[in-house]
Amino acid sequence: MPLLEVSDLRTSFHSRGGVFRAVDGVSFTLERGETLGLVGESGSGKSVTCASLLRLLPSPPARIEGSYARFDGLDLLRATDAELRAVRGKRIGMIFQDPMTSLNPYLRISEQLIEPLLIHEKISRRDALARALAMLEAVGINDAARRLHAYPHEFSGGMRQRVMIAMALIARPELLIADEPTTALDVTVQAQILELIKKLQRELGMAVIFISHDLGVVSGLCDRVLVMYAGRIVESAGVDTLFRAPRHPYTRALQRSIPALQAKGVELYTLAGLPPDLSKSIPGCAFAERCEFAIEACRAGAPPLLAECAPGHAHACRRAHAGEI
Amino acid sequence: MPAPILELRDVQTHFPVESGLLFKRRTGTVKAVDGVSLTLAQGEVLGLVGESGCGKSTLARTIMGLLPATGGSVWLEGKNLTAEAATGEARRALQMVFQDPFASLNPRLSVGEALAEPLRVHRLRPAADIPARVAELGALVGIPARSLGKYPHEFSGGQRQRIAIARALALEPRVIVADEPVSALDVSIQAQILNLLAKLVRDLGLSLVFIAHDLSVVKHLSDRVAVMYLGRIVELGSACDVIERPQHPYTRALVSAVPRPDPEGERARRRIVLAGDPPSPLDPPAGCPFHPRCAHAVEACRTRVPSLAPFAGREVSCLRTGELPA
Repeated sequence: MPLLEVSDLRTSFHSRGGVFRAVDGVSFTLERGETLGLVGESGSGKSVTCASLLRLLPSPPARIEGSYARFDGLDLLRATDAELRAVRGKRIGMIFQDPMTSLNPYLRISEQLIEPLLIHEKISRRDALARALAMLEAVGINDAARRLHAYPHEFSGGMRQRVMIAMALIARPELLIADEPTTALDVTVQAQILELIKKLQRELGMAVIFISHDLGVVSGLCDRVLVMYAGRIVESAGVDTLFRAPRHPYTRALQRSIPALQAKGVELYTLAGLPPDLSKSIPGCAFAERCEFAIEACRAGAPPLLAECAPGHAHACRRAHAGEI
Repeated sequence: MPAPILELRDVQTHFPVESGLLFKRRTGTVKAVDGVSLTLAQGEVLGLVGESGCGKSTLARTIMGLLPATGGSVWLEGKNLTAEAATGEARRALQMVFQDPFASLNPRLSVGEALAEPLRVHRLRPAADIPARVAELGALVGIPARSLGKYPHEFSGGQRQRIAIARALALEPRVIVADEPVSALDVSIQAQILNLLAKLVRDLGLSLVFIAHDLSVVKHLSDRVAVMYLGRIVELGSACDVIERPQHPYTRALVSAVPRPDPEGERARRRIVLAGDPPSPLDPPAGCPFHPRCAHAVEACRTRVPSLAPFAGREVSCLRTGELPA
């Protein structure tokens, strides 16, 4: 049985401006110990997908629907608040993107680190502090004993992000959700954090959902990658396949638009237009407006569904499935 | 070699650090830019890279005159911009594009008004000719004439960055300083702006100082690259040399830290992971500023300050160039 099984997750935001379908029918599974990358541009629904799983979105305006999201048998979409509290911070840890705003500025680092332990485990304050210290050392904070009782403003961005990681991992979760954990950091610090996540993952055997817009970061870390566009998964493949033989035109366009994969100075491929307005219903394929291969048939009918083109490789382009591209 | 269009001679930008509430005392100095010399040729793109806090944005602002240089001088087409007498007119040929296109445009001016404003201020065109010039500027960056009556909030991030570029172009500059112009944009939009900048350099003969932290973006666009660390340039050379065959230990670590979108290569790769954060410019280490994080540091690195010297077809500021493993 997979650790996490998400089926037809749909999250919409209801506002005076209309209904925005941020996540529109997302299904995937995650095995124990597996690292799953979630890539896509801003507004593609990556973060909302993960926030929906932990029910972190205020409702209203958010409304979460869907078949189910089973985490080790528990349906997260229908769990009671008490059931959810037992999972959040204990069996599922989360790292947020912005380390500057995700820590409480009024509380010492030590208080924030031991909070999940005091809530979830029968542990004395003294033992919890010892675990917190060991965790700070594990995430590579120098002079951890002295820093343990510091306040967040005394830490640099890289150090705060390490504290966030330590907080997410201190209760030894089975699943870590990391939402762009290195986007706000310099590349040298990013390299440290990525190595750290890999090392801790090996040691704890946890599964990771890693959200990123940086294809480079995903390629070094993930086993499998989901590409999202306009609230849907458009391609799902093992990391090697996705980079060597992408099938969906959007994935291909993304790869042709990044300088790292192109010869120096050549004109980069650019996607025309903008991502679609999610408050309007889009007939056919949401990417058709910007797709160089789109034909009339792409803009009509039901949205194309994710279907396998090879074992473990699925995408949602009808023309690619028909062998026309 | 033709005379450079822009030249920096030993530029320093130091900030005093004061303490005390009533009687401010100067208790220290932050040397954000500490002795940078650079040249930029006509039509050249110079990439400037380094981690946050290395002084690249301060250097950009000092070149622009937005911050006063506390030492050294900036020369544009043979005129000293740092001299007392330098006026706005002397700086007209030098324009800037900022990182955040949401903050760098006036929300109360329509795009057409924003583009016309510099033309009026500098009296570059008779009033009757301004609308035509504004339309021309819009066309240059791909903003259609029918959109010129709209306000910035009606545009996407990529379009706003185009407008910011058009505004910089309004005064017919010879040199543009672009401070992280694509960092706030999604990859597909980033590609549009990179193509646009490359086209402008090619078609208008512009020179560009291009600041970015993404090395693949810098390599793509730049002819030469300068790597900054703690207010100094540690390596300067052609973009391919510096990014594909880095020599300075810091450049090597920086290049090795960049994840590449190539899963097999990433697994095989041995990464140089630097320990710790960059040191505070308030309290820089003695000797070579990089020595506390450098795997190759020896005793001499703790005391002697290296300076840029020619090595392997570029300039490197390291006491141990030539002794390091290839």
